[in-house]
Amino acid sequence: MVPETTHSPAPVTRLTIPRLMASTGPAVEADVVRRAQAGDREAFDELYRCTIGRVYAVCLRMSDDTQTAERLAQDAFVRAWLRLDSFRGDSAFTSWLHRLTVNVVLEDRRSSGRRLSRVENVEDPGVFERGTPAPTVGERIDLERSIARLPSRARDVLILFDVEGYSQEEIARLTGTAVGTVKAQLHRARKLLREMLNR
Amino acid sequence: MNDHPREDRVQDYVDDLLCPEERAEVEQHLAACAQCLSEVAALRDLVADLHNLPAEIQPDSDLLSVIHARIDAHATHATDATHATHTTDTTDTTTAARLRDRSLYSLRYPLAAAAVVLIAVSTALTVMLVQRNGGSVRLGNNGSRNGSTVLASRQTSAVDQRYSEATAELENLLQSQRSQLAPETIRLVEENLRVIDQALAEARAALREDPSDPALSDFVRSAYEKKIDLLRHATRGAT
Repeated sequence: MVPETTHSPAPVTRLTIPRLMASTGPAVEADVVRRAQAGDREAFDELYRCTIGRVYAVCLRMSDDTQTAERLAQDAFVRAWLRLDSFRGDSAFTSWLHRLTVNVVLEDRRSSGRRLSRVENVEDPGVFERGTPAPTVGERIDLERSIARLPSRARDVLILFDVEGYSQEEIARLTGTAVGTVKAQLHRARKLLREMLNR
Repeated sequence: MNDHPREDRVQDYVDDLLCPEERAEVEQHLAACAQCLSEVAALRDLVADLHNLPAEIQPDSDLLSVIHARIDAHATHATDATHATHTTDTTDTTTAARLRDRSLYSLRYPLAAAAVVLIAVSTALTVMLVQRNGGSVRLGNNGSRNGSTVLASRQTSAVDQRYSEATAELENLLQSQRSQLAPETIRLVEENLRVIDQALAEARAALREDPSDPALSDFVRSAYEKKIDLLRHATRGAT
């Protein structure tokens, strides 16, 4: 497992997670985080509201259904609350929370040993309609549903690399595999996706 | 052309992970091979679409109340563990009395809310069911279900399970803390839990009959929220 502390070297080169409160700036973000670290639940609620969409998106795409995704998102925020002290502010809070969330999802996968996701497990394709509006919603839903049909390991790598922007080295650390394995899973995932989408 | 680059090399090319020399080799090949050029274009399109997926997806419901409940349960467990290591047999009765007073005081709003829940849910359910069934209250089978109803039913089960887990966690915690609560507090809490559970049972029964009704879902959520609120205050009062 990769620790969520931020004083370790930051190998992520492609990760482009925005700061928590882009409109108000890093000073306000730091203040909200500090208040939450001091035990202020309202500040924690504010952090939740600003980040739940991002956390839930990762959980939903990397898990097999909405129920699991909600449970994992809860796990991530409970753990974030318990480990807020380990956030030093060296990087954006959202990056710290994002990595923590990925760890929660991957740990859950390892502990349950489940083989995840087939398209029939995605109860409601509409769950993917609630994101940012896109010009080709139909195509996007097809893409999301196809991603959900991928074998879990290949899907993890695809989500982390192509959607979330982690580097292959970082994914290898997160998943406890070699970079070569990450490349192979990525290739497999993309090939399967293209077959499913007839591209 | 037979000497096509390996697939992993093409992938690294698309991902911009090749060194300049390797990159030049691939580009030289692409300049003369329409098949590989088409392959690269298709892969780039896919990667671009993946990059453009929305970064945020909102869950169906607010998860905060359950998160708070779980944090509270965790904090109380931690406090209990600390107490267990420091408490001696000669418990400070003054402190115990103060804790009991505080637990009753902190419960006044959740207890009031419990009564409101039962009244609100029962009344609203009765009105709804009477309106739908032409004057007669019925909780029987409504007939065949279409696809959206089945889907709604699955979503309802998911919500139900999520709340059930949170409340079960808090109920277990409360059970383990009974010795720290005054008998009067225990009686009030249990009485109000019965009230809420009754409201929950009614709302869930109605929802099973009509899983696609958002109002019934709201009733169930509301009752669960009140139960969690009551349990949170009760377990806090015991610490």
